[in-house]
Amino acid sequence: MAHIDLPDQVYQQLQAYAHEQALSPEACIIQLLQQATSANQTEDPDYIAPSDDLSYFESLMETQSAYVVRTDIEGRYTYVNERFYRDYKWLYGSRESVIGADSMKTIDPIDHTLTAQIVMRCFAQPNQPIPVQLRKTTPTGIPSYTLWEFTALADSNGEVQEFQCIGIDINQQVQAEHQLQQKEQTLAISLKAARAGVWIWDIVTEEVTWDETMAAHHGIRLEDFSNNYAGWAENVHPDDLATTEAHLQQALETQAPFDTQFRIVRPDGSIRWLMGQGIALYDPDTNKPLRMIGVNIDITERKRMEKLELERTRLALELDKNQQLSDERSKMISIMSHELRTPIAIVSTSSDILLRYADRLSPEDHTQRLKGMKQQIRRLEYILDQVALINKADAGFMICNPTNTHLGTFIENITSSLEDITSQEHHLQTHFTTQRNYAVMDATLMHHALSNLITNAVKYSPDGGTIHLKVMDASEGITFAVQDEGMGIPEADLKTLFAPFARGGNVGTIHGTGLGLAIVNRIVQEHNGHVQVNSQLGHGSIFSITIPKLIASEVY
Amino acid sequence: MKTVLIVEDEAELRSEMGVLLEFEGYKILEANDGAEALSLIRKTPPDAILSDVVMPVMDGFDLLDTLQQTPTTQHIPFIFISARATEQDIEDGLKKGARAYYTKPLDIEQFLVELEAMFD
Repeated sequence: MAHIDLPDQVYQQLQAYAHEQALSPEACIIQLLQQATSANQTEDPDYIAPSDDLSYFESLMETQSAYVVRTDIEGRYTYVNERFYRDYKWLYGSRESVIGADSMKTIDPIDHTLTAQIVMRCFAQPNQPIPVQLRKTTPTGIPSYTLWEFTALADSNGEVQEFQCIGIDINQQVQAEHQLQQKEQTLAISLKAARAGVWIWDIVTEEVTWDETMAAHHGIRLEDFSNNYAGWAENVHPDDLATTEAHLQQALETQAPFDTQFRIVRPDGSIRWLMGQGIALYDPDTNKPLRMIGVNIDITERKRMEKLELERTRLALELDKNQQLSDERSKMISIMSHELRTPIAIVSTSSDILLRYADRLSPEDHTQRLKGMKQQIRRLEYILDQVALINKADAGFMICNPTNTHLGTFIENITSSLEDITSQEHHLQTHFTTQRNYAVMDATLMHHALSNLITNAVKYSPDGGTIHLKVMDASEGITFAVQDEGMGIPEADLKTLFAPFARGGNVGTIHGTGLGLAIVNRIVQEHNGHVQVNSQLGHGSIFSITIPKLIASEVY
Repeated sequence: MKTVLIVEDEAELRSEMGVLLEFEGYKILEANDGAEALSLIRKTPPDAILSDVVMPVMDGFDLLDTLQQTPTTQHIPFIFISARATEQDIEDGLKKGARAYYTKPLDIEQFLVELEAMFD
């Protein structure tokens, strides 16, 4: 409602006056206004003429922040106050030119019909203020809202003499309202776009309110929802109910937002994934939760995509692994073919000599050549054995048969079998620091592993040197270490050292399949032990095999 | 008598190849790698070079490159004998400018015929 701002003492004065006139203060004010602002003197003797003591009100009208205007019954201005003039100066120019102007000009054409209707009502109900919200014309053309009260003032015969209108600028409120409406619309659109269902859970009464989308999520009609907590809970997948309720409880206890994912079962038996988020409102005095408001979004499709993505990743990994295996295999074939061709070439050339020039060879030449061939055949056998062994280990067929082994005999067997390769240039020195005489291990496999390490030590010490074979006590068992003074291993190659067919970057043309260390590693793994490498490029390497002590019952 | 240089890091193979070619009437020079071969060639240019590919110090490809860049050695017939036996390996070797590329083990009959033909 439009109202006139009056100082308290003026209002008291007005009340007294109103009482005197037997009028309501509002009616009284209108009357006073009429008199104070009267431009045309009426002939009606009953019409109260403006009196001097009311000149105070005239000046009061001028200072009002509300619009105060009067028009004749044709709608032409007879009075406008300062505020009104200020806002329409752009339209009328001087204040004098407002008087007699058509009041419709100040109203946006959109509202002309409405204005006419209100004027008609005013005629029908004279002396009664009738409120109406109208858009006024503005220099920018952007609508601006005014709340008006039109009153048709009638004389004692009920004849309408003129109109009194009081208006206040409510543009800010209307704009704010519009913005709020827009925000609400935006929210509604967002919720719809996200297909978010909104729920309100009254924790005290256990009443649950859903919107249409919530019902759609659950595959039911909104009117079929029981509107309580139990009705919601019975829709949740039995496997997820406990967790979801726990999440709800936790959110309420910690006053934290609720955020979880759970499955629901629709009446048709289909299962959907929902993401639920909510916040609770708490009693400010007791801190007890009163209500929780939240949204549910159907994430079934997203979950399906996630699962597909996982499956895709798994397949890609498998493909990668297959590719790796295939790469490894072609690498193996290439290395194998290269490694086998050299001894075969020697055997082939020697046999060609024997066949073609037998008559020109001495018996010694003959025998020496056959011995050489035999040695190359052994070299071939060794390569094939290595491949067979690694294949066996890969397939899980390496049989580890630990028995109680006398360490002294074991080491002696190794050193004597390697006498051929550990010559003057490569001196093999053994160090026995363990107090134990026996160790439980597969002597054949361990023999193979240590021979391999010592052979490597020789192979990769092209300038000779001492090779140390150490047998030491370790906290978890026993350690066999092989130390050389050779070329060492580049740091970059240490990581892949035990992978089949991996060979150091600095081996140059030293022959090898890259299988030896892979086999050593498998053998040690079979003993539940581990191999450690310490290497310094150009200074040598130490390979240490540590196997745990085995108890007698494990010996079979 | 034609002189043949054998460049091969596998000693047993190098020596057996030498024995065989000596029986066939060639004079033999031996080198363990490309670098050794180069210094030998400078002293005594052979009539043909049989070279391995993978060798320490200087491999067969680098040896061939060096020989081709030197006017006094670029005309010497150069033959690869290698354990690297893929089609790609053979193509690479021939592209480099080798007269022939043999894979180990050698088919000795064919090899001797073709070697002989290289001097005609």
